[in-house]
Amino acid sequence: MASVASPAVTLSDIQLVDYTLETLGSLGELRTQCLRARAQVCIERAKYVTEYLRDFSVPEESAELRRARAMHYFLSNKAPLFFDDSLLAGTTTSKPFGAPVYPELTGLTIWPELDTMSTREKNPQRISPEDAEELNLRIFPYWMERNVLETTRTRCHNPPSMRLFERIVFFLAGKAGAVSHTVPCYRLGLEKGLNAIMAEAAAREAAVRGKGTLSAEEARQAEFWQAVRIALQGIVNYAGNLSRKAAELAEQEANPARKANFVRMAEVCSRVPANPASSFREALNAIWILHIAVHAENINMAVSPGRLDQILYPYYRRDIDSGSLAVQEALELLGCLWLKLNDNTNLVPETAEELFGGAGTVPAVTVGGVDENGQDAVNDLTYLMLRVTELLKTRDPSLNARYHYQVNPREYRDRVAEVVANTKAVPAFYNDVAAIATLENQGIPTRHARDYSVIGCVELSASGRSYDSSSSILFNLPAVLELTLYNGKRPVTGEEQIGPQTGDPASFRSFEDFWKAFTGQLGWLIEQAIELNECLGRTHQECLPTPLLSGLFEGPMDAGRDLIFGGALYNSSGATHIGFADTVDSISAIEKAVFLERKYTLPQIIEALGKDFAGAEELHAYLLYRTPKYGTDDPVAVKNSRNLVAFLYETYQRHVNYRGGRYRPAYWTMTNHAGQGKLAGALPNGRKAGRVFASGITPVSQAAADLAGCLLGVASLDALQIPGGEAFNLKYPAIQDQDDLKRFSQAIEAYFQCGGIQIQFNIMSYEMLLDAKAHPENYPELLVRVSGYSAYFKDLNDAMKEEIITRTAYDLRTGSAVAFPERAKSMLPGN
Amino acid sequence: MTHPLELGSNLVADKLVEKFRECLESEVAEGFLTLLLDLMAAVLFFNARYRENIKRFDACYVFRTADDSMVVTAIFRHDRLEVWPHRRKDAQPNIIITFQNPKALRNLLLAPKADILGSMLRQEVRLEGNLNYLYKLAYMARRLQLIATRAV
Repeated sequence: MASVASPAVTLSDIQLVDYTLETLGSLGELRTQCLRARAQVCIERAKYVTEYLRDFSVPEESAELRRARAMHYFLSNKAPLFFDDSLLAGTTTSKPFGAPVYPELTGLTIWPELDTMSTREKNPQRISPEDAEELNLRIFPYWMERNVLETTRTRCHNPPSMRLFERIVFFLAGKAGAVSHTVPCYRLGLEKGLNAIMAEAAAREAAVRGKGTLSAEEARQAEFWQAVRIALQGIVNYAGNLSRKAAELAEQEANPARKANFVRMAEVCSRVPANPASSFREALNAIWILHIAVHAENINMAVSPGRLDQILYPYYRRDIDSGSLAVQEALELLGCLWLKLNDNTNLVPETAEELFGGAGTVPAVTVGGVDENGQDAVNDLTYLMLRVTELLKTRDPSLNARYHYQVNPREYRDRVAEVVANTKAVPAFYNDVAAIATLENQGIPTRHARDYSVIGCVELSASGRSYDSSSSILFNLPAVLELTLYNGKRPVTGEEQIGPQTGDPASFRSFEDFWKAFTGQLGWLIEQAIELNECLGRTHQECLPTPLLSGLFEGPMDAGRDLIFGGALYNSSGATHIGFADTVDSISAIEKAVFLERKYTLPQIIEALGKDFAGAEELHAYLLYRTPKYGTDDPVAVKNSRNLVAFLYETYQRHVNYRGGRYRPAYWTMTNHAGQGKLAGALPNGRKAGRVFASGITPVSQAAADLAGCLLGVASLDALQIPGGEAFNLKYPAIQDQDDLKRFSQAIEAYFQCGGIQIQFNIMSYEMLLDAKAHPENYPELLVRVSGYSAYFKDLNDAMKEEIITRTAYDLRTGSAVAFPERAKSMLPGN
Repeated sequence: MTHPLELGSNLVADKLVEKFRECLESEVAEGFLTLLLDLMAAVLFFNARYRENIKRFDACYVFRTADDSMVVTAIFRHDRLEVWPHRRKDAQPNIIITFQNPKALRNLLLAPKADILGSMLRQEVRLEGNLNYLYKLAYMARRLQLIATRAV
């Protein structure tokens, strides 16, 4: 039974309808500027970090200290810039909308494009000739033998797993490009202030050094605390520079409102984040500066601010109660933070843009749910954040609404649903009951499990306490299916023997024989992916410690150990899976066609796959329309989906990573299901060669005709076996009135009560999406939910657009799939 | 008029540029690699600005077809590029680039864009070694193309 509204909700109108972009100061104009901004490559960080390491660092010093000093050097020299009328000071890069270069990771992949990336057709990223020359002649050469991939190749003697990764079509190793994917503990920075954290680090260091002769572990601890102090001082220096620059601009500014804003920013940055925040505005700006600083050290991929409605609430409540803050100003400040979170993008080479493009940096913000005591945590700020999201409709931040159907009020659930209906895409819904139980099952104590946040796309994390590296492995499941059907080979990699020889499929006498071969290939490939992740993790330990982030986390300071070495309270590595639904349906198709009905033999199916079903139309139609589909109540499909999830869970959980945490399987795909789909042959579920796979944990487009069956099919998967999180996409053509909205909310509630962890929506019809594809100029701001994050539809590649168009749309009133337009049927994966 | 590659009146270099342009404009990819490397070597020799790219850059590249019917070794050392139509015995390659056919190699390095990831995805090339060396070479090749076609 849902409880009544929490006492923390005092708003008379939780919709906040009186507040619009027209009434919220300069927010409307800032939003326009944000949406118009064109990406520019920013070399500032690469320049300073390279310069320090190349010219000033002491090679004999530990990596921990060298890295801390490099961060200190960069942040102390980082330009204090003010591009617009934002109420918050600080910028991620030196450009209004910048793509920072991380040469120690994958930055060098843009080297061939330095002369052309400014003018490329899809999502160009501008770079000046001077900056291109700086990268070409002075920055990139330094990193040729030193970036993560090359260091790993040398350290691990170019292992087979790395060569497999470089084929791209089996699995991707996230650590080549990032760890990031985490939720820092910004609360520490707000409550204590960096000066106090640095003093604590200094005291701990002095206490250990005072012992005289140190053990190796004690020496490492002392260096760690020293490194934290050095790195955090860089943040304080940057804030000081922002303060001085704001004061200088205030002196020069004639416009009274702008002058006053500069004066306020100068005051704020002179206090935070060095000192504890004493107001809502200080807390917000402190969070923003800390977020910038984390990106100095960690690539801008899915570093997620966490539960901002909880972290910021004490400051909001105090200021509102004292009369020093009005709801209007709080909304403006929050809006500025939302837009600031859009001030940077990933540096992406052209092919990656074509294959996987359109993603933002996915800083996930989480709201609602329950608190550490299990009580309703929804408060006024929750509703302010929903309103800001509803008004701005920007790609980032990725807003995630937690909902505990036994504790949170229905009016909260309905308000979130209304915001989804109005934005057509955000926020995503999370089931607190399932998510908390899933984290508890991973050994997270209940209080910390209840305080979970979402990382990036959909990954669950004990906020600021668990270092999850949730994007460590992106695993291609249909690749395993092909390895099984071709006895260890894949059509796309030709005659090369990739996996073990698990038998000629013609020799399989039972479905159990097939399953044994399939799981044999699957287990082998998982071992490869994990082996490489471990190698890359060791390289991170050797080259890329994170003293700055470690100072903003629970665990490292007490342990005297960097996050990278397992200093967090909890650890894990995430492995997400691409093509889940296509794989399940293919397995089920084989079981039914070959072993249950004995209508076709495996060699017959394999021969048809090789010809992309040409000349085998009857077989194709049978596979497409007469075999069990995941997302329905067909017992074969239900069994195989559950068995696959169980196998993956058991296999991953047997492995402990280099930080002492377990591997967690997940099911979100960003745009990889489109990119990998382009490279895969035809599959036994009837999907033709080169077509996109279904996204996340979503059933194959047009495969599940009944909404209730679809929801039950996904919810029937054991949430405890999906600890890394899942992205379930659902589409409704429209939510037209209050009755529709009620049905919408009730469907979510029912799905959650059946055990589903997560669900996200696109509220748009086939016709509208087809029109948006044909006439992108008419839909410049159309926001869509991809697979765990939001993107502007116009930025996606054609394959991804078609995947979103073809996702099954359900009529909320009938619960049935809406007929797919005849004229667009060529887009369907089976056509 | 000054030659865009700053090759002066060197007739051999002029001929190389002309052939390179023809190669870029045609569908025929045969001979592309030799032409590219020969032109690169010439421009590196004559053009001080372009030569900046290989200052203190010692590197060895081996290009080969899967059946070794064509093998080329390219060595950068002492601010120069040396090219051999075979695999040198003393070569210690930083990267070995195995390509399906000349067109695949051209797609990898030049036209219509230096599509390294795409070439790998299509399994048209196999790379063994340090990919960063290929990124650098692709940049230099692309720049050469832009200079030769007077795009920069």
